[in-house]
Amino acid sequence: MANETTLQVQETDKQELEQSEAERTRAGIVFVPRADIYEVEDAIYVVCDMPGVSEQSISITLEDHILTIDGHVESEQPEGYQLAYAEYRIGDYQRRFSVSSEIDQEAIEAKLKNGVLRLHLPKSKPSARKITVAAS
Amino acid sequence: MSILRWDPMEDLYSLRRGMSRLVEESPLSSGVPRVLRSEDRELRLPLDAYATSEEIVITAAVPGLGPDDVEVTLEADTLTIRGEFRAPLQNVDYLFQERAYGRFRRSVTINVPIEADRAEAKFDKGILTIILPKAAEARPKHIEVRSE
Repeated sequence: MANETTLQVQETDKQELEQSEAERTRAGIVFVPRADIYEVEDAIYVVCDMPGVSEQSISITLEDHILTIDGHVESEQPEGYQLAYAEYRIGDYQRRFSVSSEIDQEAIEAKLKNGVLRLHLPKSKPSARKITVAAS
Repeated sequence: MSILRWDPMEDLYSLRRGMSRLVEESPLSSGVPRVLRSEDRELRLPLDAYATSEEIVITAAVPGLGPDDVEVTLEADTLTIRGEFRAPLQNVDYLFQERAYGRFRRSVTINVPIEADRAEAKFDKGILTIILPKAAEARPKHIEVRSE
């Protein structure tokens, strides 16, 4: 297996994401979710901490070798409360990775459980596609 | 004026006492500074807490954990949350390993009388929510004004 890094992270810090480039329609803070990424011979696995995100509020796209993960978190704090501690801030999540391996788009699997997203990105089989030459 | 020999270790000790106060927020912990060895390093769990007129609500993000992985105890006026984030896989090479792992513990003092029997804790989408109903004497009372 080639020892080259197939993934590069665009945003290295887990901190807030710059608002500018994304065409965001919602107001509020955007965080970069913490991720674990590992690669095996035939697949790449991405695990992201995204507490508060549900299946309905997450979007994952892979386009032009850019994997984008977007998650929206609804604040459940009621109106008329006094905040005593506010260490864990509520916000949406967004992160992009560039993936240099060819990924079999149809076979991508995403699971979300207890606020953790697990992505299985199977690599495409080496394209040893046979070209059949039809006899005329 | 007497001259005292400066003991640089004393500064270190008081620094460590300060540090362990930060780590051990609970007022129940003894005054003896605990030596923090690397193997019992504990993560600090960030919390949100808010109060309504009826209850105190504490939330914490515990991604990947469920009811069996977290222990919540209420002793006198101290609420403690303990648990552990599982270690990453051993047999793979991580390109990124950013997610936190290890044991965590956090204690907070609740300065309002609460009804401990009605306290509840629930998990949803990786967020732990603890609801502590205020005791009757701490809830606002509505006094009806009647005309004579």
